[in-house]
Amino acid sequence: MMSSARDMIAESVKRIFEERVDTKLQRDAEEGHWQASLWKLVEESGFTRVLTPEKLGGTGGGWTDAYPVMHAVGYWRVPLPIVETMIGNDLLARAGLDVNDGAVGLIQQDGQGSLNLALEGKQLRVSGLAKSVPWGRNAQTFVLSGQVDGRQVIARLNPGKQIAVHREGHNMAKEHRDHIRFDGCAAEEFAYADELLTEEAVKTHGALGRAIAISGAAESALAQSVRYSTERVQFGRAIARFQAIQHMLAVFACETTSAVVASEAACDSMHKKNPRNQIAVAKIKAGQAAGVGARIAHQVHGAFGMTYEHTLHFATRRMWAWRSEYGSESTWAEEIGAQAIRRGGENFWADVTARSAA
Amino acid sequence: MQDISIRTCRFDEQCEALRQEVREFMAQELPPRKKGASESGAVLSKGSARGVDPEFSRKLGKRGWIGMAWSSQYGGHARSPLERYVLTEELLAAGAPVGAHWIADRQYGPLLVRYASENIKNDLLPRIARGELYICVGMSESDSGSDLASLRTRAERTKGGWLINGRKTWNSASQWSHYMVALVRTGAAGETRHGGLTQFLIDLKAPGVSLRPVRILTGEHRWNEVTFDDVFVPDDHLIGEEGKGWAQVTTELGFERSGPERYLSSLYLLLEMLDAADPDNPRHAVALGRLVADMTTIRQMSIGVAGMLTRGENPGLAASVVKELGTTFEQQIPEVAHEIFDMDLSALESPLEEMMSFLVQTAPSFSIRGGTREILRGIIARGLGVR
Repeated sequence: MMSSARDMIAESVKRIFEERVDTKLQRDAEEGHWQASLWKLVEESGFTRVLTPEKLGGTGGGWTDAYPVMHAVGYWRVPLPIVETMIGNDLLARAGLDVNDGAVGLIQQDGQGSLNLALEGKQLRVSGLAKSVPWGRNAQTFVLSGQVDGRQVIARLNPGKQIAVHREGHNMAKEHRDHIRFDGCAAEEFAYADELLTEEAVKTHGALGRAIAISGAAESALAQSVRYSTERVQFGRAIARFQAIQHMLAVFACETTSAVVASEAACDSMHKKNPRNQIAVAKIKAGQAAGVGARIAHQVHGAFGMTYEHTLHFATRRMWAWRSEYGSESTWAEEIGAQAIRRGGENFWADVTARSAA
Repeated sequence: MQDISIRTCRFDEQCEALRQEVREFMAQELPPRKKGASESGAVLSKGSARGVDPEFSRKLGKRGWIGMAWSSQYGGHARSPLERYVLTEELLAAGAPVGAHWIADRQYGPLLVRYASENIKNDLLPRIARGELYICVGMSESDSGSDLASLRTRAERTKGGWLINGRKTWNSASQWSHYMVALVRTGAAGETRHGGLTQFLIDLKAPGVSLRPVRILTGEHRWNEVTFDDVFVPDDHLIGEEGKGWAQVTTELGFERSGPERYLSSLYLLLEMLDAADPDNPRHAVALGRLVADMTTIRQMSIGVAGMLTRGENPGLAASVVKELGTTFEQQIPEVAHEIFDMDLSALESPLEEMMSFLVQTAPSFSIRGGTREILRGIIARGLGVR
């Protein structure tokens, strides 16, 4: 059942993105221009603070309320770090740190991260190269999750002399993905967050954000494909009349529905004890929908869909790019697969059913 | 473009309490699955509601676990579709032999509740709910599979009722059933081809009914061909409205398409695979992790459809999506087993190999029964507005 807060958020993101995000804006962004006025509107509308508590100037919502915003970023193909900023602000607030305005550069530093985090008295110093930071050059705050002395920390760093854009880059969707160099930079603030957050906070939250946005982009690509198939005439009739096309679109719809359901279920599990498995499921299903869906969308659109002039690629390039970020299907599948194998056949059904209890 | 969204829901305390009750009951009634232990063929009957055991059906009836969602007036227990969902998934997961009463409980009980005369309801429904009376499906004919509307079995009016002539085929479990609900032609098809079809409740012991066994490719006798030679059916055994059978059947298939039986048929193979796999072998872990993700999601969708039924919404389109995804998943499991394990399926020395051999042979039927994959994709395409 939809909460009314969620309905209202969904309404207002749709109103703004439908009106403001057009092909002209998307192309301008892909040429490297920061969409400042849209960003201002997004922040003023409170979208980047849906997950932030009210006392810190946010909506105080949960992930079920964040879902419509992140979904809309995919559906309307919005070229801004909205998902990243929502997640960064959420991590800061939950670690008890201040939340500022401005785009957040989200840095994943767990596992094989290349940054060096060191405690110097009461200061946390960060050195090294953070690779492919989403919208790194546009960030007004960097939020980092990592390990210090075996404990999870969340740190906030502000751009300054000891932080430099080492290399500007972008993903397949021409979203900025920049290498950022930290040169012994002291964190503005940091906090231990072992109990507050799941391990690898940026990776897990990022994976869910991408799964939701992929669901939105896939719904857009599906809607475009359905419309195109009813308009495009070949052999004297709309190609939608051909059973081969109908069945491809049906498969596309099934995959998209799976991604949506898995992402919503993950949002629903975020306030529970161990949401990591459901996030893994969501990222796997969204990744699969991205692969199958983009393939079918392009097959239906033929050569037109392969041109930059057409709008289809704004959705499909995002699906491909996001599929590879914060862990691809194999990473997440290996994790939950190994876990299920260790639990064995005798526990499998009990584990599956435990996840659906209220 | 119709909305295909499915909202997941969670089971409340009442549902979870029922789940525990069912598990305790099953622990007493069935030997639990033992890791690596060969069950000399017993493993084969598990999953997919294949086992038939009238005594077990009567025990379930006694517990109030057949006809759960009907009103108590007819021997039911007025519980929610979500509670029924929990019961069925637990029975299937435990490999319970529910094949005798399965169809009557799932689709013909609800059909009779909705359309049958008071006499028939009072007579049959309590017996179904006690696990004593079984009903089989009578839809397909040898010339009418996916093109069901072309069926030729006919009913003609006679004094006090109807005379039925024709032949139904591929009827699962009909050798154990007391009745068949058959879709037959009573009038002209009309322009939509869906007119002139009517559902009848036919007593399989009536004069003129004969069964011929149809062996499936494993050699088992699971189906029959049922021939009707001037079979008399009294007036009140016409179920619903004359000529409205197509719409009634379509509703019925909605119930049939999205239940847990649509993704649990290969569960036992998946369990064997989890026991045989090595968690440190990435090839095993990745492949099985994907199956876990598939199953988790399909189950959430299937539960979501049960939630729609609870709220009185029409789940027709969503149910087709669940069946398409569920059967694809069930068929994928033996494929993955081939990919990650080296099995010699001529020896059949382990439950894994036994289950594998069985599923390789039966899996093709998953995307045929209850509406072929092609029919389902057509329904989904119509929902998208391209058909």
